[in-house]
Amino acid sequence: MIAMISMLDVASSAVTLVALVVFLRRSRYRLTNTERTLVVFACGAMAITYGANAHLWLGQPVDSRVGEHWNDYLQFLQPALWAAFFYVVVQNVRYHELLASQQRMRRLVESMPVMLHAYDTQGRILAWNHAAETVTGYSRMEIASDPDAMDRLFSDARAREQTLLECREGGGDYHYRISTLNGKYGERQIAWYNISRHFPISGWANWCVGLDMTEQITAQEQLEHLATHDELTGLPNRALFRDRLQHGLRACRRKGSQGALLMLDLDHYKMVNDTHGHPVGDELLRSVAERLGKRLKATDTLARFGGDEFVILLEDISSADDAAFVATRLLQALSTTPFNLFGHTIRTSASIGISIFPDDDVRPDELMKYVDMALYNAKQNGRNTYHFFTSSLHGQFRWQLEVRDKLEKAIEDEQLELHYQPQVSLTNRNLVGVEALLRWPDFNGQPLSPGIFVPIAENMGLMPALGRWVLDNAFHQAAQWQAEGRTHSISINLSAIQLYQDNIADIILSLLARWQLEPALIDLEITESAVMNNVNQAIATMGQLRDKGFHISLDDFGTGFSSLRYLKNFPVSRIKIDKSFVQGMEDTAGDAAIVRSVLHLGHELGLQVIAEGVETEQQWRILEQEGCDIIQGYYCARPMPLADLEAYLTT
Amino acid sequence: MNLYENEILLWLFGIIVLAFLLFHYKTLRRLPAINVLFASYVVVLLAWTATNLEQLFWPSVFNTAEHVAYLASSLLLLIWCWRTSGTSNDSHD
Repeated sequence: MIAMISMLDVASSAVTLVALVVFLRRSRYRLTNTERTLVVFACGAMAITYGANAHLWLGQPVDSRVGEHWNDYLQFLQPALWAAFFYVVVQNVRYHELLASQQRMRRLVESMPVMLHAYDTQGRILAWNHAAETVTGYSRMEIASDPDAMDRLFSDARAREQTLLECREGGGDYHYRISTLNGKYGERQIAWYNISRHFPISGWANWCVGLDMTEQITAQEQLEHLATHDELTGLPNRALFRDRLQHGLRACRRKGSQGALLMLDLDHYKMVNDTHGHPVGDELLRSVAERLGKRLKATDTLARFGGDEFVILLEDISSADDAAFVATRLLQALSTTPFNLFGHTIRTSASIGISIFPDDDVRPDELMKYVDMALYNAKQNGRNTYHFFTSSLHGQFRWQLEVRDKLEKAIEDEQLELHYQPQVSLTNRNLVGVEALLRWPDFNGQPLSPGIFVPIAENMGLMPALGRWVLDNAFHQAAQWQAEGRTHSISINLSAIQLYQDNIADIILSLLARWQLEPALIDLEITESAVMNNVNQAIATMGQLRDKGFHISLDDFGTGFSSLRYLKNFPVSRIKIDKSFVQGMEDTAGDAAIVRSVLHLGHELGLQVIAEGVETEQQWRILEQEGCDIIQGYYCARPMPLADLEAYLTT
Repeated sequence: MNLYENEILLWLFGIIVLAFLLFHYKTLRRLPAINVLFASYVVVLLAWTATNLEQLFWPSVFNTAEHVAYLASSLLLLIWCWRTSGTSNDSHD
């Protein structure tokens, strides 16, 4: 039995020794040196212990050779060495897990889309990730090797350092803020969150997490700018201007000073848009804004409210004369030098309304209303001028609003009338045509002169509707006369606003088709001054209408500063001498000379000449002697309603 | 029928190491063929248990079992040592 046990021990010892040898030869790569050493010792201890147990089989007791009970204590080496081995393995595994975790963290930090930047008390860079390199343009090496890098990068580096010092001494954190970073490729706006404190292992360090907000901040600034500025000109818009006006009014109350509000509107801006197109119109507005800005002080506010309407706030003026002086300068700035835009030479002028505060009012809304009235008055006074708000304007403006409202209703309700004034040929004394003249017989129970309500219609946007009403009714009457076999023409006045309407030719042609009218029976009268507003477009429209068979007459000839160079190009068949020359030719040699010259000029150009405003027999005789073709005036007949005209024609 | 204190201490020590082994078994699974090594250790612990039990009853049986267990443990250790062979890719470090 004992021998068998001893053999078992010997076998155990031998197997353990073999295991040890195998281990030493094959376990090179899979365990650490410490682990291998511990395994070797454990195996050795096992082999020795099992070998010692085999003393009986070997024939002599071990105790007698190496001392009493030593094997009892040797046995403890086995669990001790295995315990050490397992402990070391556990620690190694944990260490490698920690390393792997650190690597993952490093990869995460490197790949983070936010900047990570850290440094210690000596300024040593602890972290500078890929995002930081991308945003700043500086690599970690560049940052670490350049002692001035931080000063260059942070525009407020000194203040930042001071704050960090205070944080370090006071133990506080560094706060969130947005600051400018001067990167290699330009400035960037970075939102920083800083943790500045003493860390258990690394000591004091400042860890900064930065988010590149440049795009967001730029977009936000653009949004804010768009919300408060006019996109086309870059000037403050209505909202910002209102804010500044309120501020100006408060300052004026506080200091007891005066200020002025100016509203500027370009004259005939719509024509520029219609004629040259919106790109030119927009460029004109930009150029106007630039010119106006150059004529104002830095403390003045220039804003655009939309369209061609500019508003100027003058703070701290000594008297109303200062505002008048500024208005004059602005008008001169616009009217004296033409604008060269995309190869077009554009002449423009403006009208300005002025209101003085606190004299007129101290409420922004009321002031805006008053300055608008003053502007309207300036436009009615012939444009290219300025006008101050007065209390009488208020009543006048209200009356004009009333006229406008009632005129609009009168158009809808067909309350307007056309009267007709005959045109007589001096060659054969026959009636060759009638001029249709607009009348409003019932405005508050009284007739209202077209000289009053037509300008109001023009200024208040009613002219297209009013002009269409006139055309439609005149065409209708002409169609009736055509059906009755009458061959005299009907003259219809086209206003400047109608002439430059985009679709005026289409409107006229559609009415022609509606009433199935012969175009030769229609004589469209256009004033010389209307044509001169935009010669090229006027010629194009007139040419288009003449090509369709209409007669075109140049009305009020001699009063509109037209160039003779243009006259030969005007597609007109008649010119009408203005009545001021006709009525003056009996007494004034100059007027008589003008009438003679116009008659001669017209005939030389192959045009018929009509003299209007003929009131006396003497005027008739002179015109007849000078070879005038047609006359029109009170001497022949006054403008009359249709029924009277029918009677006139019968007689 | 006398228990030896060194054998009892050895057994207790072995139990503590076993507890450590079980507690960190998940971590130790990173070792190659840990089951074989674990079995080898358990068997040697059984041997230490048997050497204590032989003092109480069936001395011949437990004595034989003790030494058989030593041999079994050695064989398992040999298997483990053999299976620890491999390349650096298999290393837990």
